[in-house]
Amino acid sequence: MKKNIIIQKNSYFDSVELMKFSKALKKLENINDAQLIMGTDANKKFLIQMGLKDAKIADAAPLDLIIYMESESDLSEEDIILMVEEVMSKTASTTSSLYEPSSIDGALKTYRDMNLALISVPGQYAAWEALNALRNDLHVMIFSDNVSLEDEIRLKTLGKEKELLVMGPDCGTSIINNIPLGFANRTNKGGVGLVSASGTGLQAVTAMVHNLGGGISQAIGTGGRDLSKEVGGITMLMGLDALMADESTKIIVLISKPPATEVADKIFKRASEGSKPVIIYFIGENVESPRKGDLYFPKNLSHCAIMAVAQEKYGSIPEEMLDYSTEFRNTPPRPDTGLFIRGLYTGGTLADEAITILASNGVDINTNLHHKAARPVKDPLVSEGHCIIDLGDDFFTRGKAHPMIDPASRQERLQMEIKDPYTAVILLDIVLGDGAHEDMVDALSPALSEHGGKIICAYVLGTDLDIQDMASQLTKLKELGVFCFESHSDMVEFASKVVGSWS
Amino acid sequence: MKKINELFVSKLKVLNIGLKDFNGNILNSGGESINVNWTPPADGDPELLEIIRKIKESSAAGQ
Repeated sequence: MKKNIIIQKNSYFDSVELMKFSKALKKLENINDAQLIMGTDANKKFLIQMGLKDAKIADAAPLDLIIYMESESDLSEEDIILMVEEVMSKTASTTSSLYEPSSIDGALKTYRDMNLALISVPGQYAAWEALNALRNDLHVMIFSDNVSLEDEIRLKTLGKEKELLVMGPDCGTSIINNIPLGFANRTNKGGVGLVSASGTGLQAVTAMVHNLGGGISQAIGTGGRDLSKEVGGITMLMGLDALMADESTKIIVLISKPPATEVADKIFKRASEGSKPVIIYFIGENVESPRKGDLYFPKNLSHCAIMAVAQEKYGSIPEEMLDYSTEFRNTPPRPDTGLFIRGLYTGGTLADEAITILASNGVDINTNLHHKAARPVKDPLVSEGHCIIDLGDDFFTRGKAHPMIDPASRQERLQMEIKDPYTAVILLDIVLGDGAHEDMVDALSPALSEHGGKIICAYVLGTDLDIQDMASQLTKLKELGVFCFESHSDMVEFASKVVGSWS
Repeated sequence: MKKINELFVSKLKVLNIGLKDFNGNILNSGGESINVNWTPPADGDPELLEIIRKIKESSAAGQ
């Protein structure tokens, strides 16, 4: 086997493009491994951890492209560069215009009427670009993470002064004017408006609203820290006010993990003063009553969507919809072996909701998430008892793409859980939509086809408009013997029922 | 929230700064997006970036 390291000076590509190039190169004949990575300090450290110690890597600058390739045959440097260039020309993302400006200021000289900046540059540069966008009167969505809390407060305070939306940092998804931004599902336009501090929470509700025949007016992501005491819910409150004033919006849904008390009080006050019904779901918080005036408090994400569609379509939420329970008529199946539920999630909010539901059913859970109703695992790589793992956690994604894009970490873990004699039920989330893997079921199918008598359940988050074709994903899963659900809480209740049937 | 409500009734026109894939997704779903051919400022040197940031901050404050 031959190993090559080549440095291409001043050749910048974003991380998703590089992942696509690396993936395409690995598929070529005689290529055992290929990594294309920029020469930042963090990346160089990652390569050294992989055992690649080379003076060329140490000398690479942040704008230099590092090409690492392992091949069966002896390839010259020229051969490799040609191969890389060919892959790049075939797999690079297409853009609409011949002229691509190199900065926000440059772009606005030619395209004067832009109204929103979508920023997904590495975290250390994101605040800089966002500040520039706000100064140019653009609304901003910051997909990037690793932006400091101080910068977030500064950006949102400026946004508030200028009446501009600041979605994020760490805002994975939004739908503005029926256009999905970041990781989002394609949905019909309608009267349900959302503001959410949870990315997969927003996706789960918007997709289910669409699947139930409703539609979305606007879905505003805020980033996960918006409802902290420090940030004070600036974006959620601005989004709520804007949706109250928006003629297309008939009902508003607010989603977050439990906020700081003073922020929650502000949100309840503002929501109850408005003229529209508001559904508030603070994941994991106890619900005393499902309704207080025009405020509604659902049990889970599916319940949010059901209430919202009822209000949108019929102008009210009937009394019988204030409760939500899942009923399974048939006797739950029994796995051939095992005792425990193992959840392998890519969406943090879904993992969180799974713990909440299982714990409320008396199931003791171990997890790598911070959750008041579960015990922390000693090692995130090893499951203990009933165990819910968020594979999108930083521990798993350092130096790698998110598991919604790159299935490698979940493929490996799934095989491990199937081999474990203690595993009885496996829970998976299959998140479709823009930005997500083009065929997650196909990627997981080698492991799924050898399930060894375990009960495997999948919640498919998507719509019929998504590029992955939800119907074919569901068909393939069913053919593999997987129990499929279009409601996350239904899947988790089903798992509870399975383990409850022998305890 | 006048400006946000104006956005809701306007055609969304996005400047995409970062992942090129997002630009393609917006175009594919019928939106308008211009991709900024972004590279890290200051040649990716964090110390130099900090100096430029301070200069820009002080000039903005003086405006």
